[in-house]
Amino acid sequence: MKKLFTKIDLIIIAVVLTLGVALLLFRPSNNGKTAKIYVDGKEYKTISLENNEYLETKVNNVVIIAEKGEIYIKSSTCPDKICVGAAHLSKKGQSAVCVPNRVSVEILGKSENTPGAVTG
Amino acid sequence: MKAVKKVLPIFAVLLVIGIFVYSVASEKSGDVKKYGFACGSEVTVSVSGTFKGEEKAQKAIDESQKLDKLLLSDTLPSSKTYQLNKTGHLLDDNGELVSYINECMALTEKCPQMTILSKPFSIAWDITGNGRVPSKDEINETLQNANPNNLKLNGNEITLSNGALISFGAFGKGTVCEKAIETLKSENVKCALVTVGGTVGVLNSKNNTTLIGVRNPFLSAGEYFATVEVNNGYLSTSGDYEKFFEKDGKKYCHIFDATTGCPVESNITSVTVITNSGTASDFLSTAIFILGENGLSLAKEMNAQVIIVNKDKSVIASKSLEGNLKLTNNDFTVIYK
Repeated sequence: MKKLFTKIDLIIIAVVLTLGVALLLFRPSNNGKTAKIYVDGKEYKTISLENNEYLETKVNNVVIIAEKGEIYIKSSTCPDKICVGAAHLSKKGQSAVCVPNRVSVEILGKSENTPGAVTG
Repeated sequence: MKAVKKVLPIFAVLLVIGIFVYSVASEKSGDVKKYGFACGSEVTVSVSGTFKGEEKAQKAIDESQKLDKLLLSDTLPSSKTYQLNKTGHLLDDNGELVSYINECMALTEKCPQMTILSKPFSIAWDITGNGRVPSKDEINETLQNANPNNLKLNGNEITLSNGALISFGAFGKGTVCEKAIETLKSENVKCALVTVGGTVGVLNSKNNTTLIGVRNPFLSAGEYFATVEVNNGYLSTSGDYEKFFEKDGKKYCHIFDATTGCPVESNITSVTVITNSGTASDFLSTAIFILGENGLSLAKEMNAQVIIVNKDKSVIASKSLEGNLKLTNNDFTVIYK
């Protein structure tokens, strides 16, 4: 009896399906390791937190540090310094903002248990 | 057999391409988030699964900024409120300020400790600066400034006298939040999330809900101690943990009792209100901060749900929140009333 699939067919199908699954899983902006800095409401910089590297960003008188897989506002010239006191961001959807200097930082992505927003 | 052999690999390739295109497409019509500034706070508008989401979200940002800039702000010279405060007189061409004043006064009628004529209090106590404790005479003067008779509405003519000054600080964020949500609705958006500082507006279709975190007032912004599922509505919070000053060991918050001209003193550190009107949610969060537990009946009357957090981490919440409100921090205990 002839086989339904030859060995080559099976290999091709296996490779192609693996590629498909890999593409589905590989969504860089949803792994909780990508942060975005916004200045004046517009995207300013995208930072990967994947490799835990130390990276300092200075913009609009605000200093933002990315290190050890976290990102946070280190210093700012604003009077209240609420942004400097905010928690270090490490999870999807978390954000910190300096209103007077119009700078905000956010970790992209959403997970089932992360609130869409937090009241104030 | 030969036909199957040919078709299957092609089918597999098409499947892979389909998965790839689907994932890219859903990213495109997935969450769009736009940022702006209004009422001294950051505004965010997030829109899900809508065609031309970016344009619509931007329009909502623009409308909310416009409302603050042209009508509500008491610090921007472009605003009608600012101009009215400056000269004591305004001819309100399209009547929108008159309309809004009436809307707010209908709310403050339910709570005499609140007023839209609160700006003299903020000035006397230097709330936007380092804070100061005014003398008894200065406080009495602010109480005279805040006398409701100092505001006269005559058709579209608005007059302020005796040092009266309007501030929509206790209402504005809720109103601006609602403006953004209403703009999105008019653009046929079915699912969105708007924040104006700590005020949150939720839009959902049918029975869908969005998980919202309730701020932990003892930790920094973004930290929450509980969550609620909201279908459609607005959440506003009033608290003593962000704007305050300390003098001689005493802490003064920025929420004033209009009958005493002084900042409120109580065991409460934050009040969060959930209701279906943005302006009402903002008003109520401040009113109940002042009234305390006695304000729960007012909330019920206005179809609102309340979460009161006391300084000792005990929490009082509306009975209708039982089952929905979920604590995520063991330091807090909740009683439902």
